[in-house]
Amino acid sequence: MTKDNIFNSDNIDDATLEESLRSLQLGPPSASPVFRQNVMAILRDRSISGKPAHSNSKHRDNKNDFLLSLFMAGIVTIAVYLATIEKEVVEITPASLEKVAMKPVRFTLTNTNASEVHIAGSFSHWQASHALHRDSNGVWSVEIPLKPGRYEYVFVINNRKWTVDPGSNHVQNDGLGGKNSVVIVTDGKYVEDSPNV
Amino acid sequence: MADGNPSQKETDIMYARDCLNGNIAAFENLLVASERTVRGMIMGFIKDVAVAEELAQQSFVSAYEKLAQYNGDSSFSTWVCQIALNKCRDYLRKKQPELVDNQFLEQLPDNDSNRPESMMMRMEQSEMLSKAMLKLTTEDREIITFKYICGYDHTLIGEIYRCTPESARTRCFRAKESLRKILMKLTK
Repeated sequence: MTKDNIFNSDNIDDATLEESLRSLQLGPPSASPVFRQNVMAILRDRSISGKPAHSNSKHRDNKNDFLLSLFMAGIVTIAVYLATIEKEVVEITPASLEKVAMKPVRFTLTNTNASEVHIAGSFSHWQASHALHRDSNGVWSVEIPLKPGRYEYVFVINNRKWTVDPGSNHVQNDGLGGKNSVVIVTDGKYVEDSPNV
Repeated sequence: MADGNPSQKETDIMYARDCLNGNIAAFENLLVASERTVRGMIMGFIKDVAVAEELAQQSFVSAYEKLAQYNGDSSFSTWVCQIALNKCRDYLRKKQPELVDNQFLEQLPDNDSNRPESMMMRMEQSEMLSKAMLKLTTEDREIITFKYICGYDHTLIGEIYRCTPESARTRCFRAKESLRKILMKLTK
C-alpha cells in the first residue's frame, strides 16, 4: 500500500494511520523573548494598576491574623506598662538608633513627556509602589529610606515603559535580556555607583 | 537538597513561591522554562499563529493570577498546559466547524515534494483526516492532537488529564480506534 491511497482502503493499518497523523506534527516553536516581554509587561501593568498580585483568601486570612496578633500584643503591652509604671528615663543610645538606621536615597529622572513615573526595585519586591513627583523643570524624584545594601531598580514611565536610570552608570543584566540599574547604599552618608541618586 | 540538583518541579515551586512573595520578576524564570511547550501545545490546536500567541499570553496571565493554586504536583509547564487547553476549548467552541476544518488543512507540511500531484494527494489526505478529526469527541480529538501532533508521551498526557500513564495509553488507543473507524466510513 502506498501512502498515496492510504485512506482508500477498507483496512487502515496502525502504522499508516500513525504516520499520517504525525505528518501533521509541528516542531516546537523557537523561544520568543518578545512573547516573554509581552507577558511580563501585562503582569507589571496589572501590578501597577493596584490589583493585588495574588489576592486569595489564605493571604487575607494571614493578614487578618497578623493584625489581630498585633492588636492583642498592643493591649498586653499597655496593660503591663500600666501595672508596672515607674518613673524612669528611657535612654536613647546611638547603638539603639543604629538598629533601624536607614539612609534616605533620592532617585531622580528627567522626563518632560511623562505623565507619571514610578520606581520598582528589589527593595519593593519589584512592585512599582513608589511614585515620583515632578517639579516645574520636568525632573521627577522620590526619596526612599533604604537599609545599607545593594538594590536593583528600574523606572516605570506612564505605568507601561520600564527603563533603567539614564543617570546611573551602574547597570546590571537581569539575565533575561533586560537590564536593571543598581544602587549601593553604604553605612556612610553617601551612595555609591549611582551619580543620579 | 539531598541529591544536589533540584528537579524541574522543585525549581518551579521555588520560583512560584518567590513570585507569591511579591517578586514578580521570578515569574519570568517560569516563563523561560515553559513558554515553548505551552505555545507548541496551543499551536497543535490553533493554526492561526496570532490567535495561538494571544491564547498563550492569556494562559500565562491566568497562570500568574492563579499561581497560589499551583501545588507542584506537575511541572509548571504542564500546569499551564492544562490552563491553555481550557483556553483552546473555549476558543474552538465559539468557532464554526468550517473554520476548525480549515485550521487542520493549514497544517500541511512543507517538507515533502512540492510536485502538484503530490501536493494534491497530501491535500486530500489531510482533508480526509481533518473531517474525521472533527467527527471525534472533543476529548478524543484532544488526545490525538496531544499524542500525534504535539508529540507528547503518555506520562505527560496523563499529567494533563490527571490520570496514570497507563490510562492515558488506553485513552490514546481508543481515540485512535475511533478515528480509524470514522476514516473507514468516510472512504466508503
